[in-house]
Amino acid sequence: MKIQRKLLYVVTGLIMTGLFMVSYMSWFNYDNVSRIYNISVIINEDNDIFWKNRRKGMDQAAAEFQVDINFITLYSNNSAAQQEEFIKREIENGTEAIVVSPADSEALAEILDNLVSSVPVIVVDSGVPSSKVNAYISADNKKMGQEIAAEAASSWREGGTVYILTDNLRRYGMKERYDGVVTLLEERGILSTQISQNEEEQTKEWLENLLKTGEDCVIICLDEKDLVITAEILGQQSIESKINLYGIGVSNQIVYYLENGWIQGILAPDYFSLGYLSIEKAISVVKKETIAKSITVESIMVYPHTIYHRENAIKLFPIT
Amino acid sequence: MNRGNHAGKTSKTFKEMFNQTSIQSMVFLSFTVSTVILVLLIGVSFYNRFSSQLNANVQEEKQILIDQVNQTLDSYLRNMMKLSDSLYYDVIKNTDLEEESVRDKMQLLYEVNKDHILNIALFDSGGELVESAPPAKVKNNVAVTGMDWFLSSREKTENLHFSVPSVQNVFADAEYQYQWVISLSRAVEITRGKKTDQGMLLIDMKYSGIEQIFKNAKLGNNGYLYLVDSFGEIIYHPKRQLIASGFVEENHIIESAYRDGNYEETFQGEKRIVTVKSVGYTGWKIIGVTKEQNFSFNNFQNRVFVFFIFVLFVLILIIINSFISSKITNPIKELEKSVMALEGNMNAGSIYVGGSYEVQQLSKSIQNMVEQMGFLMKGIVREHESKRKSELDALQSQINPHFLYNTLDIIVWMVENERPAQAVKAVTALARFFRISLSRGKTVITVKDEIEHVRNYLMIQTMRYKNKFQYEILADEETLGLATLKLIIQPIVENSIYHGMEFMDGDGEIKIRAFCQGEDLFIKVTDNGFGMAPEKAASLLKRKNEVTGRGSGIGLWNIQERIHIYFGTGYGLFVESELDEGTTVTIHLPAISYEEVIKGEEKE
Repeated sequence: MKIQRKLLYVVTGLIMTGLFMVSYMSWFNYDNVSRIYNISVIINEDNDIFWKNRRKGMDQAAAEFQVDINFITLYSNNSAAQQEEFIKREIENGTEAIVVSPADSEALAEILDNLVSSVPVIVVDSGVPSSKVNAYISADNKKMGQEIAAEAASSWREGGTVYILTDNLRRYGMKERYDGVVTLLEERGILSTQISQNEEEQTKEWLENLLKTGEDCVIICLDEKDLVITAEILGQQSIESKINLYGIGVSNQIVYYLENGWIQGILAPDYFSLGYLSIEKAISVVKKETIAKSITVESIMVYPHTIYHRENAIKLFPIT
Repeated sequence: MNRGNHAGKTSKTFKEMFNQTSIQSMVFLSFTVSTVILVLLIGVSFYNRFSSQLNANVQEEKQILIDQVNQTLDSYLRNMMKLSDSLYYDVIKNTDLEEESVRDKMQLLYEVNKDHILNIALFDSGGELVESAPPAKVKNNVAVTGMDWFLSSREKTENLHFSVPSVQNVFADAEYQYQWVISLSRAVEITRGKKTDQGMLLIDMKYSGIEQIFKNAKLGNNGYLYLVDSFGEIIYHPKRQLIASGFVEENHIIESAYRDGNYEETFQGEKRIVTVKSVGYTGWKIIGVTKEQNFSFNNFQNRVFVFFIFVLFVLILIIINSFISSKITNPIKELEKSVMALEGNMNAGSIYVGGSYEVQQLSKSIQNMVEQMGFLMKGIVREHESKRKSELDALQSQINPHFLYNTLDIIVWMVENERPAQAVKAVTALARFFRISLSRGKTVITVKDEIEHVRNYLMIQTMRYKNKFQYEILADEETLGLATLKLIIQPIVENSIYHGMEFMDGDGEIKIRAFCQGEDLFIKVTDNGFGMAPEKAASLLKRKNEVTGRGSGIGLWNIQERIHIYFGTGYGLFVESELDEGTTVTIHLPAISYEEVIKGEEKE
């Protein structure tokens, strides 16, 4: 009986201790204690002009989830080597997760595959064929390519050419856009030509030459940089050109050019949501929560006369 | 029928269980159960009270915060309205625009308020810009007259109109600034020469002004404030962008329809409290949302905590109740042990006295009872001993060798002196005498037999004492069947003979009379012997003065004692004597029939 009684006391003590621990778990649970997460964002460009909306989304998420974001721009555009360097540096500095817009999808895949670290990686804008990627967040690039091509096709005139300005097809996202454009134009029997210039000056030069020809054509720019350069060139023309310009991407400058009629239509991805989600999902992975491997954000077609429509304005000019 | 039986059985089982439960268990269980129930009731009451009080406090604080935000917002809007009034009444209204420009004054007012204002503009009825501050150019492709703010002001010229937030799209901005504004517009009268025209005064308030008011207001971790217009359109929401993107949903359309006050609702499976407060003039509503989780104990950890506290309390209660119940029942157990020990052996020791007052009193009572029992038992033992001795004495007297020798001598003399008839008479009397003396060992015989016994004795004694005395025996018929102790008359008669008749010279008399009086039997033995002093007569019944006769050896005290033992102290002997007169000894017995006594003895 004595032994039974002692056993009873021990069991009771254990149960009480367990209850005590559980009831005060939130005070011991590190995850529930308010703390700041460190996330690194590595983009593929040397400036963040075209990342304003994404940054607003990231800032909103940072305020909500208590995140300290280290936003890193490259020294030169689309340098996979620099991205690798920054990734390694951030991991060494103790970053808890990395959000990266790949400069070169396959190169980045190799970098990630060779990484020993298990830091969560969220990829945005362009996919990366690596098992180390925890999530891929982007607009539907192929669909966007098709949509913008459809717009371009609506203003294409018989005999004209559709020029597709691309920058970096090593990025899967760009490739998908391009494929989307080409596929649709081919379906409609429209001739298209890819123009790929490495340097801005080269692009300008090509445009000026095109203008000189007075060709009746349509230009599709698959990214913001080319779109801005092209719009500026077209806008500076004193004589109205016969060139219709469409593009994928959004920034205040692009909207300004759209409003001025230098661009006929833009396909604007919901960059705010993309930025917000990239941080939110990175935190989820840090907390060991399950997330979807691929998340798609919407995009909207905007024309000069629809810029200020309420549903467009809020996407084009996010409030934070 | 079956249910009745079953209920009856259950009730019986409970009763049996109850009867078999120890005091300690009952005390412990009843203390524990009643306290637990009481504590649960109190706990639940307090919990509910505290919860509702907490809710009330949270609500009150929320209301205070919302009121403060409302005041701040109201103040902000009123300032803007005052600015609009200043511009109109102090600047525009009294100015002939053909003569004078309002630019400087507008610019001044703009400068003072530029933290909150993006621009100020005055348009004519055709939508043409009259003045603006800061100076700006209207966009080429913009039709001002088609804009919502313009139309609202034209529709209701007497009012000031606040628009929903929109991106400023009247004036060109070469720096690609697309800023969110809330347009405050009103219809104004503009004077140009002799003509007055309707114009529109536009003040574009920076959205950040209102945003800042709401961003600074916090409703705890799971609460927030947002602002809607009268149509439910969101003006400010901390997650406005996410709502627009479809990642977050808000119940703003329904909540904007609530009147001012507090409402409980469930939205997306979550319970929440919504507080609505209208903003003056604009028709806007401030809506405060607090999720129930914020102010309730209904989450897992709190429930576990409550359960932990409850279990802890019950454990403490069990320990305390164990202690209390054992404190109460241990003395009772000790008392029980004492009593059980005493049960086995009356001399086992004293009764345990301890514990509470009542238990002590009980112990003392039991102790007294035990002592009383011991005393009574000793009395009984003494009584039995006395009875045994008395009976033994009586038994011994049943065969008195002296009397036998003397009587046999007489018989021998009679035979030798050829008096056979007298010898036969004597032998017969002797035989009868001893037969009744023995009476087969009985203690009680009939009065008839006792009379017979003494008659035979007297017969022999008269022969012996050569008729020195006479005797007379009178027994009422009704007394003959009554019960009497054996050998109570003969010893008295014997005393009379030895202390009186022996010295008489033929004139001695012994009278024996047996009669009933009510429920009593009296047997009087009277002699006319020497008698004795009354004191001596009284002292004959005391043991120390016991006179054992030369004959039987049974003294009056012995007879008295036997009567007391058998019939009680209400009966016995009474001696009356007077010197030279004689002595009367009265035997007082209860008039009980012999059969009755025998039946009583058989039952025992």
